[in-house]
Amino acid sequence: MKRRMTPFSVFMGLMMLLVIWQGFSLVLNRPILPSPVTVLPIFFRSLFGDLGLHLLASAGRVLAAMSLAVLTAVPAGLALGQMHKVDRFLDPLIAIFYPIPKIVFLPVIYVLMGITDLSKIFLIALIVFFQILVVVRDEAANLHPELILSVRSLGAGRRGLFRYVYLPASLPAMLTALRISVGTAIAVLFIAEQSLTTYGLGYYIVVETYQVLLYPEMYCGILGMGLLGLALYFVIHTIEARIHRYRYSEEG
Amino acid sequence: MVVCVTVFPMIRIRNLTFAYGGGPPLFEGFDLEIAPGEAWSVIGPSGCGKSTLLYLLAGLKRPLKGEVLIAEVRVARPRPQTGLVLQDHGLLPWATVGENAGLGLVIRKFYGPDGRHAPAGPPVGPEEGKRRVDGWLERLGILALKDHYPAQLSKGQRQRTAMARTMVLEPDILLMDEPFSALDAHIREDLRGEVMGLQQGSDRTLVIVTHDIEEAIFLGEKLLVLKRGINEKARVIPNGLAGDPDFRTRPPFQEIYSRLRTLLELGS
Repeated sequence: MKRRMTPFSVFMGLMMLLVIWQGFSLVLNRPILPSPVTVLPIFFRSLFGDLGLHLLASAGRVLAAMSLAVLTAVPAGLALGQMHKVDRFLDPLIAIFYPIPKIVFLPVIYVLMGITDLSKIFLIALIVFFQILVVVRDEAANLHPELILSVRSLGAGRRGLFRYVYLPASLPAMLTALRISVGTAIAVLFIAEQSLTTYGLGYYIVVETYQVLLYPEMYCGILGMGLLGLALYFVIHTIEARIHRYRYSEEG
Repeated sequence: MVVCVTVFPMIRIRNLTFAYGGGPPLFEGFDLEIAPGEAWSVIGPSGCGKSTLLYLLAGLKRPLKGEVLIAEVRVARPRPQTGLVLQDHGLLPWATVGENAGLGLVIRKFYGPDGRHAPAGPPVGPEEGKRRVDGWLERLGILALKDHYPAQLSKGQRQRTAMARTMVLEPDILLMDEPFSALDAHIREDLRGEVMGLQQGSDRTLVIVTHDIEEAIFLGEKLLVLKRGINEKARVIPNGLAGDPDFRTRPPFQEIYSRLRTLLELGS
């Protein structure tokens, strides 16, 4: 079910979204759903002002969280994938922890880590961490022993194996996991930003606009969040498509 | 005037003992010497330790007791000048034929000429590297497939790629672990001929593990027969038929064949 995304298809998608939005706002005819004709000018104007700062704060948090997750989960996953005994020992714990919605730890993390950006970043990183950990571990564990032996016989030691075997082997799955967790990461960001901060789209949407009934501005925030998710998704998707080439060729 | 040349064995196994974690030993006090440039076939029933012996030579496993010396140096890790080809080609699925064939050179460049992961001598330059990769791909008949991925190749073509990858590093010892047993009969014959072609006129030492009697006789000037249980003494049959395309019809064939069968049946 892999379809090609072209600039044209993205443009068409946006147009359809705007038409549907306009239609609904006409039918509903209430302040809670302003027309895009009202929202879009405000959006573009405030993007270079207040809204832009909120967007930057949110983007910074989610990027920091994803980097933190990648930088910790990839080495941990590669290690588990190679150390079968440790993996078997830890597997039940990971299996239980993996499906728990990590957002429930929000209060605990606030208490333990303080009401700082770090605690928000940590929470999002925690979610992405497990997604990546599991796929990287499985990819590393599923490599043929013959592949490892052959590459070792070519002279590769631990560093060489990491660079030329384990990393390229787990990269595609890691990117897929990252792309799939973009949605969850941003959803959690939205919740985490609703309180105990003064910058971020979550705060902007809930506190600065929704609670004071600035509906068109609220939609600007929603658009901003959508834009953030979409941009991250496309960036990862593009890297994936470049790396994935060999997967498109027939499996034998 | 007498010119004195000291010929040391290329491979010397001394008092080797090896067992897999807690199991009975496959080798105990085992000795073997292989001279430079010789071609050996190692044959035996499954579970006799023939692949294990190859991994010990490759430095991928360590003896429990005794030692393996190559060129009089104790093997403690994979030696850069030893080439290894396995039954499962072990190619990187995300890399093309050309990239796979050049992988050894890339790894050598990554480590630099440290004498551990790569030979200590001057490194191979990019032009020389490309020349070697293309040269071996051409010689093995897969140059046209250079940009293909392993998934797009037949089993025989994959094994040829694995051979090219090893030969690009110009090894002085070539170790092969049942390299053709996953292939169809006629492709197996082709590749056997290819290996023999590599061997003839070279001073490379070849050790090939097989369970196929005819393959052992075609490729090995000496046949090492291993048995199930503990191998203590090397049982070696000299074989003058190696490399002879008509080996099956030569007079000594029946004799060597039946000696080999007898030893194999004793050991299974």
